[in-house]
Amino acid sequence: MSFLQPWMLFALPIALLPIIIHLINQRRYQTTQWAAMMFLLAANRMNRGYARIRQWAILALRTLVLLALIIAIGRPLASGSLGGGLVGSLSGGSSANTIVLLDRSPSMNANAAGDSRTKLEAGVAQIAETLQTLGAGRVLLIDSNTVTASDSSPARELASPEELLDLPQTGPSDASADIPAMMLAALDTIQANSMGQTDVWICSDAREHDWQSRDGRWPTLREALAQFGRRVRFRLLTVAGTDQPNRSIRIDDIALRTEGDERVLTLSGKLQSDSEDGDTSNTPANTSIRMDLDGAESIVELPLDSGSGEFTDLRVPLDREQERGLGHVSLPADGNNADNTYYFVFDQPPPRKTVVVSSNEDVANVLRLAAEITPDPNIDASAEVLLPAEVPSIAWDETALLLWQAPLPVGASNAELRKRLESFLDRGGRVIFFPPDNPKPKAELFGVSYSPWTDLKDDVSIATWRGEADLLGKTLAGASLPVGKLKVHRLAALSGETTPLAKLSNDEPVLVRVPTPRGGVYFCGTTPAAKDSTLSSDGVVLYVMIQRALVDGAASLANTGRLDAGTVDAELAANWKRLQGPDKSLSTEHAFTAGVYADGDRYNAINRSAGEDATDTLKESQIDDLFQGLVLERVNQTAGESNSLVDEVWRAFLILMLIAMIGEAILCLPRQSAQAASPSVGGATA
Amino acid sequence: MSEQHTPREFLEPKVLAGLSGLPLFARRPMRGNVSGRHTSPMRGASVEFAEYRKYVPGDDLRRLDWRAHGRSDRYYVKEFEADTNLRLQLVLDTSGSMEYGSGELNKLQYARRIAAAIGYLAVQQGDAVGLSCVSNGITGHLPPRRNPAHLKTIFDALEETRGQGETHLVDVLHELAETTRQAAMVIVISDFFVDPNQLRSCFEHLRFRKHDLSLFHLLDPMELNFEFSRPTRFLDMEGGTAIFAEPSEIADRYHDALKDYLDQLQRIVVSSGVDYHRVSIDQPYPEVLTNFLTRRAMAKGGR
Repeated sequence: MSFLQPWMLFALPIALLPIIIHLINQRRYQTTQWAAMMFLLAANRMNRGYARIRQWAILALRTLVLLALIIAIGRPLASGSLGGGLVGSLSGGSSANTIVLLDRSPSMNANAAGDSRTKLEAGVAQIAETLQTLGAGRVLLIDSNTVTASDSSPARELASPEELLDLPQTGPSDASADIPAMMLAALDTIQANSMGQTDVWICSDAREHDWQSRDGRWPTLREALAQFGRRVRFRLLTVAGTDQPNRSIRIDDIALRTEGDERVLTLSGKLQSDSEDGDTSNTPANTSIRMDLDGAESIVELPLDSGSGEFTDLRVPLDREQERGLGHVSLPADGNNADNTYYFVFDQPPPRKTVVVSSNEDVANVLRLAAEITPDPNIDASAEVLLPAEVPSIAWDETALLLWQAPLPVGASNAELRKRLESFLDRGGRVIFFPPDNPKPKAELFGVSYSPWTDLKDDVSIATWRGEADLLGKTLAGASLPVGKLKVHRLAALSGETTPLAKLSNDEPVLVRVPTPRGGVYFCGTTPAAKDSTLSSDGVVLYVMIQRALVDGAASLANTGRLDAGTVDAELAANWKRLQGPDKSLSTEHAFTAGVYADGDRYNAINRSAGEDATDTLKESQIDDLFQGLVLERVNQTAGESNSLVDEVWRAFLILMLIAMIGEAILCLPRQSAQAASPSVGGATA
Repeated sequence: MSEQHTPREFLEPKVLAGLSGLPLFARRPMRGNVSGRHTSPMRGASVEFAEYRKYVPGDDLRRLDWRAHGRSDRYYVKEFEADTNLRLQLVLDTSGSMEYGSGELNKLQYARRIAAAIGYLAVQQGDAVGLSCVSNGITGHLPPRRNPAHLKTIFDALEETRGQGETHLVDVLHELAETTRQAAMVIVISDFFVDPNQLRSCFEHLRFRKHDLSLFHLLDPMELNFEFSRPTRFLDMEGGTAIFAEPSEIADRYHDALKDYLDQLQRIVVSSGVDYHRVSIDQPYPEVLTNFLTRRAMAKGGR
């Protein structure tokens, strides 16, 4: 139990007053001469059990009356989860500073149990009410969007806790939260303002995707926060969700095709249901979704056997003339409405133009072929082979992919080229480097350099590769690429800070990715030439690699963009015009709100990130591990259970006091037998 | 009788004058040695006819009823009731406990007033009055005399009594039962703080000796009600151990003990035929005496 007026507890010794008065009274006895000693002696010999118990009961009740009164004035709270119990109360029940960390991610928009509100609304309302009851002094709000958007102080000072209920910054959002970043922001705020006792309220549903429990920032945070000791206390409010089934929809791929005279939009995506297998049998396998295409609504049946699953190439016929458009698919309302809508935009596929820079004809041919032939006959692809000397003639604005098998452009003479290359990468273009005929170890580009060629005596195959994503990822159908079958005869070893995508059995990386802002630079340790590797003879891997890089590079040329909420620069997005999406959101929140936005001629579809559809939540032990060494109180709340996290229970103590007073009065009443014992005087004669 | 007396504080002429109209009667025949107001077991010369009896030689011829002889030709002697005086033995408890009094009077002062008034009334109607003061034993004894001058001696003795020592009432009553000549009137004035069962044997002993026993049981209102508010150390007035008690805690049991004792005493006086008067000393004593005398007059014993 904790108290709103904990200093009243210092008055608790007053409850001992009746006992002290009793003891003083015992000492202040009078002495009197007495004749009727025989009755006193007889009374002393009698069983004194009841009388003694009565005396003690009266004393106890008097003490209880005072005790209940003092506790009632101390304004006790029923919820033991606050304030760290009595000790916490004594060391300061309500802190002068309160920082509210608000997770606004789409998962927080799930309906709260027993309530018509969402988890976010219920959590915000409860925090506001609790802070109001506790009489919080200074209240600062750090919400998940603001942290992502601004580099400077993301904390917003609130005039009063009630303001939480009205602020747009406490509303729903489609961007994922970055809890470690929010914690860092809180730490910065505490340090910058030299705050004293601070309560940090975290309102979140503990999704792994938001919390990133394996993130490297956590240990640093723990270390920094542990220095404050008990000065900083964390309170994690978790609002329980409903048992209502929830489905989410996502479109992974959208393509515009011409089939004969018709134009068709093909959609591939996922309809995910979080209910258990047993439950899906109860709910009808409803696979129809509502589709809005340029404002025209229609119902579309998904080609799915059950209520959930992946669908590919869902065909939606279009007008013959239509070349671009926008729309969204949506599901009926369910447990979480934030993941029921997915926005999309489409346009004519951009030309897939590849430039191969190589002086080796064999290699150039192989690369050109792999780039030129598209898997889809509807898409035009072209490749141009250039000698290193012809590089300045590259039409950078039309190129999607650059395949470079030539000496790395280092040195002052190539500065202009490097600049162009960087701007090409910044735009979203892709580059794959292959080792030149005579690599120079000192020639370093993007921090990577090639060692001279080494002959591998035995034909070494690729032992490990990253199959989950990137160039060597599995196919949409889930099959692995036959990377293991490749043999490498010669290797120009790679050195530098890289992310290996494939490694030989001797642990030498053969394909690496360079971590750059847009991540479009790859280095291959061998060439497709027959003397170097079987990349060309077992051509599938090379073909897939190049086509994937080409698709990614071409996307940067497209007039449409698919973006995850929260990944766009908020200031940039604020200037976009909203074409579809919730009407209420602020322009400053465009970057965090799902919808379709027009950036000049370019259409951008913003949706929740793929990670939001994962329902993994952190276990309590994991959260405990994250907050090891810090003061954390976990407040699990069912929204419908109570309106407030804190219940004042002083009334109960006043009632207890009244009962004790009545009990004391009853015990103090003179006994009737005492009057009967008073004998009548008079005579008696036989 | 002309010498000047200091007024005795226990004698109130107004009370005595008020009571003088009420005679003090014994409840059973008394064997006095002079004529008086009380019935005697003997035949005597009063005006009240008792019976005819056959003449036996030796009877006084003057008492032959000649008219009866004329009617029946037999000799009858006509007999009359005898009235006699009585011996009144006042027994006054002078133990330490009698000094207790929460009000204007203590028990001993109250007892003196009762004893003096009854003694005065008895002497006035020609009865012999004696006084025994009792504490550890008989501390003072005046045998019954009917001389009015004896009354002064008794008053002197009453004036000198002081309450001290333990009560050995039981032994003294046994002793008095033996030493007092048969058929006297015995009035005991005490607080009777002794075991009722021991009293039973005394009462029966006195009754067996044909004494007319009356008791004035004096109790202080404080002893009856036990209304103390503060913890108190009770010192025994008869020299016993002191007791420390919390009145609010012990009051119930005190009342229980008192009630037991009084109930037991009541049963004993009823079964042993004692004229028992329980007196709370805040009652006015003339009222108590009037009540005593009236009830005795109503219960005046036959022959």
